[in-house]
Amino acid sequence: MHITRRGFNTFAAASAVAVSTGLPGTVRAQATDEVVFAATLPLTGPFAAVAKDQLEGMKDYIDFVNSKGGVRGKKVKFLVEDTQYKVDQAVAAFKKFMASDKPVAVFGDGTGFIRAASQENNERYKVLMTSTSYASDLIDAQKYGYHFMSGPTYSEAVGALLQHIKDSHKGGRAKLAVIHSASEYGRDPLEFLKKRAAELGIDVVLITEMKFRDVDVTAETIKLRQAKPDFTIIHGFGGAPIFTEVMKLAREYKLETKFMGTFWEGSRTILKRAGDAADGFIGVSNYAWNTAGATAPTLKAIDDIKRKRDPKYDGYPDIYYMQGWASMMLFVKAADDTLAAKKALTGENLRDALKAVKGWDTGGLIGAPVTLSGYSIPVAQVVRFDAKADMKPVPVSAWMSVK
Amino acid sequence: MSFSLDLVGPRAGIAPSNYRATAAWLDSGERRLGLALLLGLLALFPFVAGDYLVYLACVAAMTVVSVIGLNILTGYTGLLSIGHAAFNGIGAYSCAVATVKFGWPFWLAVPFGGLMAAFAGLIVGLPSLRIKGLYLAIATLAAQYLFLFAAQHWESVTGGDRGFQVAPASFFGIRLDSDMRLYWLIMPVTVLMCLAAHNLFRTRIGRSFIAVRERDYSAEVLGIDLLRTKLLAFAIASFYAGIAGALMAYFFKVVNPEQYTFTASIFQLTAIIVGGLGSVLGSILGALFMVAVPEILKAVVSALAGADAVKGAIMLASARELVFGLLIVGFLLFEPFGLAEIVRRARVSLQMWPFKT
Repeated sequence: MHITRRGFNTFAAASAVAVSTGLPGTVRAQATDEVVFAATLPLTGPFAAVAKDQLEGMKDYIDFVNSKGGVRGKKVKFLVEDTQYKVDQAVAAFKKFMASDKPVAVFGDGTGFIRAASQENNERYKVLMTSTSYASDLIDAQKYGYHFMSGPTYSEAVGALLQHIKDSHKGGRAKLAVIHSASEYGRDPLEFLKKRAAELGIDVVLITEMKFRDVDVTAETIKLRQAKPDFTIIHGFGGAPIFTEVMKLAREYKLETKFMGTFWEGSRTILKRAGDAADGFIGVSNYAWNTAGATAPTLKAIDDIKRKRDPKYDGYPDIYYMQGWASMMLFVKAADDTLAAKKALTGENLRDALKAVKGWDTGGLIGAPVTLSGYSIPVAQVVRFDAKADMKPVPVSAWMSVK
Repeated sequence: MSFSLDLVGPRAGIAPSNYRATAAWLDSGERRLGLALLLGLLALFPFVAGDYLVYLACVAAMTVVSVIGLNILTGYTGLLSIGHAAFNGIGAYSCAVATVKFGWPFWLAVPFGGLMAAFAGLIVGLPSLRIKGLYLAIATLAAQYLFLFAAQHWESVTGGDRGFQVAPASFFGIRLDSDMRLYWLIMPVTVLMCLAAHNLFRTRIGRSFIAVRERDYSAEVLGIDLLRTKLLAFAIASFYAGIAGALMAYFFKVVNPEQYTFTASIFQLTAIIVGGLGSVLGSILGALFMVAVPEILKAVVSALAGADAVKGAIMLASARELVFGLLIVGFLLFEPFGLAEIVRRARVSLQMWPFKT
C-alpha cells in the first residue's frame, strides 16, 4: 500500500476529531440490580504474564458468582483497564472508572497505585480496594483504610521463610543471601529480614539487587558463589523470570544453596523455566495449591472450571490465577455481608463489612479461617517444588499464622 | 538541520512594514479572536467535561509544560537530553519536601521546585560546552540515573523507594484536593508557561538559543557566550520540568522514584519529535498527542469489543503498543517536522484560500 503524506495527515486529522468526540465523558449510573467491581492490571509491561493469569482468575470467579445468580440477586459487572505497571496510567484508569461506572471496589495493579490513589480515595471516592501488593506498610489503617490484602505482607512471608530456615537447618548458624529486585517492592521486607534473621541467629552474608529486565545475571551469581550461602531468598520479581536464570547459573557453578522465594516467585509456571535448577525451591503459599479431587467448595469450583476449559489440567492452578480469584472473593464477601445487613452498597459499608469478618471459611482457598480486622490475611503455608514431579508443590508446613 | 518556526513571525499574506509589526504575534484580528476563544474554552472546559476528561486535561497540561522545557533545550538549542524526567523529579521532590516538611504554601513550593530543578540543570549542563550530540545525551542519561539513585537512597529527605504523600495545596482556605480544583492551578500555570516560552523566542536570549543550535562556533563568532547560553538553556528547560514536576506532586499526591524514570524521559522526547522540534505549538500538540492517542485507542477498542470490557482490555493491551509505535514511525517517515508543520500548512492554505490549494 502506498502511503502519501496527505493520506497520513488525513489519518492524523481524523484522530484529532476522534479525540474530541470519542472520549468517554458521560457518567453511567450504577444500575440497582448490579454491583460493579473494577481492576487496574498491568496487562502489558514487566508483569504482563502475571496479570493475564490474575485476570483469568478474577473473571472465572465473577462468572461463577453470576452463574449462581450473582450477589444476593445482583449481577456483578466487572471492568478492566491495562496500566502497563505505571502509576500514572493506573491512577488514570481509576479516575476513568470513577467518572463512568462508579465501581464500589477496585483492584490495584501495585503498591505505587495504592499509595497514589489512597489519599483521594479516603477523602472522596471511598471505594474498597485490594491489590497485587503485600507491601508491609499498606496495612496502615490511617493511610490506607480502604485497602485490604488477600494474604500476608512481604515481611510476614519472609518471616515464614526465616522460621523455616531456623527449623530445618542443621549444624551451626545458617548463612543466608538475599537477591531482590531493584524496586520498592523488592526492597520492602529488607529491614525486617535483617532484624528477624539476627533474632533467629541466621547470618545474612549477602544482599544484592537485580533489575526486572536484566538479561545477564553473571555478576549476581558470582557474588552468590563467593558468599556460599546455605539459603538464598529471592524476592520482588513476580512474573519476571530473570531470577530463574540465577538459579540455573548457580547450579552450573555447582553452588549448593537452597533457593526460596516469597509469594510472587513461587509460581509453578515460572519455576518450570528453570527446570532441574529449581528443584527443591521453597515458596510461601497464600492459597491452596491443589484442586484435584478437592471436596472443599471453592477448590472444587476452580477444578471444574479449569478442567472444562482444559482437559489436560493437572489439578495445580498457578498462584497468579488463585490471587485473582481470591481478590474477587474478598469483594464479593464484602458485598454479600453488606447486603445481608441490609445496608447500601457503598465503599464505606463494604470496608466495614470486611473489617468485621471473623473466622471466614473460604471454601478451601485459604487453609485457615480468615479474620480481616488487621487489613491482611496473615496465614500461609510453606511449600517445596519438586522438579521430578513436573514442579508440583508439596507442603512442608501446615497452614500457620505468620503474624 | 532545519526546523519549522511556528507562531513566530507574521501570518501568511501580511507584509509588515516595520520591526514592531514583524515581531508582533497577535498581528491580526483573527489571531486575537482565536486566542480569546481558546482561553474561553479552557475556562469553560471543566464545567462541561466530566471528571475523567478534567483529569486528562490536567495530565496533558502538566505534560505540555514539561515538554516545552525539553523543546527549549533540544528543539531550540539543539542540546539532546534523554534525562528530562530527572528534572521533573527534582521539582516534584523539592516541592513535596517544602510542603510536607517545611509547611510552605503552594505558591512558594511550586516555584521552589522549578528553581531547584533549574539549579540542577545548571550543573548537568556544565559538560555541554565540551560535549554535544550523543555524548551530551549520555551525560543527561547519567543525570537521570544519579537522580534515581539519590531518590532511592537519600531516605531522610526523599523517603526512599516509598517516597511520601503530599497534602493537598490550599488557596485562601480552599483545599485543592480534587482534579476540578487543581485544574484552576494547573491550567493557568500552563498558559503562562506557554506564553513565556513563546515570548522567549522573540528576545535576544531565545534567538541566541537558535543560533547555538544552527552552528555553535558561528554563534560564538557573532558574540554569543556559548557556555552562558547553553547553561541558560539547561536552566530554563529544567525550570519548566521542575514546575511540571511540582504540579505533578500536588496532582498525584505522592512522590516516589518510579514516577520519574528513563521511560518518562523518552516519552517526552517522543512528544517533541511527534509535535515538532523547535516549536512551542509543536510541544503542545506533541504532548496532547501522547496523552490523547492511548485514549483514542481505548475508545476504538471499546467500540470494537462491544459490551465485553474485559475482552476490550485484553485487545487493547495487545494492540496499543503496536499502533502507538506505528503512529510514531509514521510521523518520522511522512511528517518529520511534526504536527506543528501540519497545522502550519493547514493555516497557510486556509489564509490563502481560494488563491492557493
